[in-house]
Amino acid sequence: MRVLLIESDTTTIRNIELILKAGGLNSYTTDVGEEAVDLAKTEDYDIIVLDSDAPEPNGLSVLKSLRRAKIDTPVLILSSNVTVDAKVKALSAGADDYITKPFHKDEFIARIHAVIRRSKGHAESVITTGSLVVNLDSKTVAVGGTPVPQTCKEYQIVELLSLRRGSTLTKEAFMNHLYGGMDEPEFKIIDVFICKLRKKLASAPNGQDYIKTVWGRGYALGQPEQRAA
Amino acid sequence: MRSANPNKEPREDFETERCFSKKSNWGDRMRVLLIEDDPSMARSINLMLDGEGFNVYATDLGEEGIDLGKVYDYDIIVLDLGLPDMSGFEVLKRLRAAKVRTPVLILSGTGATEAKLKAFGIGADDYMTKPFHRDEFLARIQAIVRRSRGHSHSLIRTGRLTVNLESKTVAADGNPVPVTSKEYQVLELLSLRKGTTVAKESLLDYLYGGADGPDIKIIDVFVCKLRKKIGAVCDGQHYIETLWGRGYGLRDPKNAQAA
Repeated sequence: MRVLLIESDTTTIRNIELILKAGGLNSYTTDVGEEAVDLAKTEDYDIIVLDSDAPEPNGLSVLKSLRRAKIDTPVLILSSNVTVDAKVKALSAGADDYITKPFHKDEFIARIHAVIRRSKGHAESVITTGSLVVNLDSKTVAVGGTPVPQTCKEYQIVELLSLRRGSTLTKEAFMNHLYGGMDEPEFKIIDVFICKLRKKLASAPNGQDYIKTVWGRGYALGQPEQRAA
Repeated sequence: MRSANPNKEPREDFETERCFSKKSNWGDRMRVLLIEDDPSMARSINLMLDGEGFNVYATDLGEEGIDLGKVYDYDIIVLDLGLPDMSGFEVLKRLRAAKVRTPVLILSGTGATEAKLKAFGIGADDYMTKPFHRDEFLARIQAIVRRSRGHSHSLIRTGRLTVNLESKTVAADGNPVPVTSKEYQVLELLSLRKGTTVAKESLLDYLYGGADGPDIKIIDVFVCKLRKKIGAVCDGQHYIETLWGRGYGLRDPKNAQAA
């Protein structure tokens, strides 16, 4: 999952980047301002974490300019302002959650996951597609009840496919989510990961090939409802 | 009744807050299921929600809450963790196990991180610690409902043809129609501007981004192929109209079929 962190304080940046990394989230950090809106518009992030403590321009106006630019990405506000007034203003202006500093790193990660899950239309942290079960909470994959061990990158791919079940993901989207634009290997690596994943999922008892190739566009996880129709 | 402000902050601009919450009212009344056993708490929450124009259905039992959640379609469920017959975690687990996808906001007396993690892990959407402030409570409810309603697959239907912008697929009567990447893009733009005329130049631009595009005749080729493919599955109808000298347009069939 991909996070855009809008933050200007250097020590906080380091802290939050470490927390996000430990939580298995790819992050990109930018300073408050115009660049943030441009990035959010052109790139595909799962969530925006916005620190609203910066004096100028303040978090609320950044949030408003994001929503005015028709950016629908969920926004989580970080703030040391504990007043109800600040929370209500942020939430009414289009924020999805509001966390006050200091916060517990586990709660922070759990809230990020909850917001992303809901924004993709999933109510549970366990996503079931046919007999394939992806648990976003424990980051595990199982087929028909049998756990299927995954490497970190393989899990990220299957997680992304499950969260956006039914939609076609381009190889570019995979690259962005897996590497976040840094030290990217060649696009072909995605085909390699998908090939390995397919083998693993198919070799489990009652396993089958869940991942569809959409020619010229990318890969998708088939929805069982659609298959039955 | 208003619950005590835990932060003891002076709040001069109370009026602005009222404006914010008034602005975000939904066309229809929001339906809230409240599962809370403490009668005075339940009454005060009921008053808060009612004052905001929400329809509230309250119960003090987890078992009844699960049944109501399964049968009726609520916009949000507000769930207290300490219930007489079972724990709130159990209620949430059983709701999610029964494929109830309604967003759930947890209310709890404990702010322990473990409890929060457990709640989020089994499918809660937000977690608030008592005592809480009325305005924050309402703002959080609205933020959750807004996000859960915002998720919809974008489908564009024309006659028997359905274009799914999310999965980038085309279907006729629910059966997938295999189209190539470029053909899909042509149909996508036509669907997005359904009812209007799309110039060939716009289609060429959309497909090739203006750089090194092939000859403009390629658009006619793609449209011809699309018409054949769609016509083959829709009894000869293809919905793509030619507008001489201007381009192409996607139209709903004029005499809607009785089927």
